[in-house]
Amino acid sequence: MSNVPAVEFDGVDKYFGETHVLKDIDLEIEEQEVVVIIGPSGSGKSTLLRCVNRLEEIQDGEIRIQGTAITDPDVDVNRLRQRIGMVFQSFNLFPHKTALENVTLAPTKVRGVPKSEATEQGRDLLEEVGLGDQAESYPNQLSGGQQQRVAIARALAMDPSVMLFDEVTSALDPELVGEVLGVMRTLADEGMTMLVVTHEMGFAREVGDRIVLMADGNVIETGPPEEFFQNPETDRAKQFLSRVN
Amino acid sequence: MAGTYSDETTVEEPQTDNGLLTDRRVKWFGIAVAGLFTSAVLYLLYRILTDFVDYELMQAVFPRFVDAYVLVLQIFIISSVLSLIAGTLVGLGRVSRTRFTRSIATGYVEFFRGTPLLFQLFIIYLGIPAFWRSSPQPFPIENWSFAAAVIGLTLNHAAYSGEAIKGGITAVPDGQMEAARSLGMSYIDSMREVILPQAARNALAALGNDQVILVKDTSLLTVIAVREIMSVFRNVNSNTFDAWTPIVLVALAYLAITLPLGKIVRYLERRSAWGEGHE
Ligand SMILES: Nc1ncnc2c1ncn2[C@@H]1O[C@H](COP(=O)(O)OP(=O)(O)OP(=O)(O)O)[C@@H](O)[C@H]1O
Ligand SMILES: [Mg+2]
Repeated sequence: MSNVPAVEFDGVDKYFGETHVLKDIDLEIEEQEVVVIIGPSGSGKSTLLRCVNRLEEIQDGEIRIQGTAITDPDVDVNRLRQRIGMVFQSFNLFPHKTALENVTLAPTKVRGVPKSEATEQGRDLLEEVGLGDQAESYPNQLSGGQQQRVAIARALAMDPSVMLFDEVTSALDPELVGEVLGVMRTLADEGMTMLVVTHEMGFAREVGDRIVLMADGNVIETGPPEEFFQNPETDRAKQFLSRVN
Repeated sequence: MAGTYSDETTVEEPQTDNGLLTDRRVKWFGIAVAGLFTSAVLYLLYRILTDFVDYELMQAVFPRFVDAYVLVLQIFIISSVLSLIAGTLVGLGRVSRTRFTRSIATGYVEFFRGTPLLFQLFIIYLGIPAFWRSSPQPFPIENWSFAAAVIGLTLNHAAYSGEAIKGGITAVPDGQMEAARSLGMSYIDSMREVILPQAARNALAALGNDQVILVKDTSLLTVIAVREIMSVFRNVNSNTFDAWTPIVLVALAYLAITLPLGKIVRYLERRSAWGEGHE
């Protein structure tokens, strides 16, 4: 693809006080590409995602979404975030709203979509993630897997061009992981651009177009899953893979 | 209901040696004390209502208590609504990321919680009209005691409810704000739609408490010439030397505000169960 990348990291540095958390990161994610980020705890994976929608500010370099720098003074951060869906490890559903209301809140408040239209769209999205019958349920009446699927539907309701997933199955009971990964797989098949931080190596291998290994704030190695898992180039990658397999 | 500690669920006698304080004895002691208390209260009530209350006097002064009741209810409702609105702003100020805003909110709370309400009422009631003393125009507000009462109670209780709301906001997990913001919602929309409803639920018990205190604080308004319930009591008492007749009316008047208030708080608690409760 010769187009502008969907997401582009260009010499990105991120510090928390003295701690250098992202070190001169260069990375390009093409349209419709699914990039899976793996790496040991504390390597900066979450931070990398959170910088994309400016939940964290970077100190140096530039991140571009479809060619536009996110720190450009003309960029309205709320507009920017509407184009970037994010799903969290801890779901973060709004407990005082039903599944449907969780999904329709942002479209009605931010986009000014009429309530009836948002409701219709919300029901369709819940249907798509397999929760058509749970629209009126409150989050605490849903299982973790169901909650996470609602969270995905909620992010999709803003019709984003990129989706960020930060260890979205890590808080789930093992038997609930599959249903969430299934939704993500469908999304990938439909051509969504995705940045996925996960420990699910099976998912990385099957769904990922490219694997990115991070360690200590650096991108250590990146490559297509077959090559990365079969013939890792760096010692760090070999070491990491021997530990997770 | 879940969440209450019912005696029925305890398993037989405890194995551990509690000496005299076995579960069964504690239970019967509680019943005995409650029973004694109830008998004493009922007996006193009976004596008061039969021997001490002067029903003719009660009829005669009843309209004055009704007037005072209506006045207090008005002042309470207006101050309650205003103090909850102002308190929300104070609470938002207390959690503001802007240092200036935060310190102003903190200073506000420190002053209004750190000085007596009585003193604050005087500041407003006497202090504000003093600005007009040197001017040719007369002080423009006609029923100044009423207005001063509302202003004083609002400012004072905005500090208390502000602290309650601040606590409620702080107890909402950070992930809620992050989720709302990551959907593209503005800070204020996120606050209004996501954080504050949860904060209000967290703060409900504290806010309810404070509203009850607000009702009782109206008894201080007599010092700024508001003809509230206690001032009618004192008036009746000093004219007739009857104690129990006005006492009964005072008790009824306050309970006629605080009991429904408690009901409203419990209703709101149930309504914000969000799928948790049994309803
Ligand atoms: N808000 C913060 N303040 C200070 N340091 C932080 C903050 N968030 C993260 N860090 C630090 O930044 C580094 C990278 O954290 P990050 O959460 O991005 O790692 P991660 O790769 O996502 O790890 P994990 O697999 O445990 O989620 C860690 O050393 C962490 O302690
Ligand atoms: Mg992480």
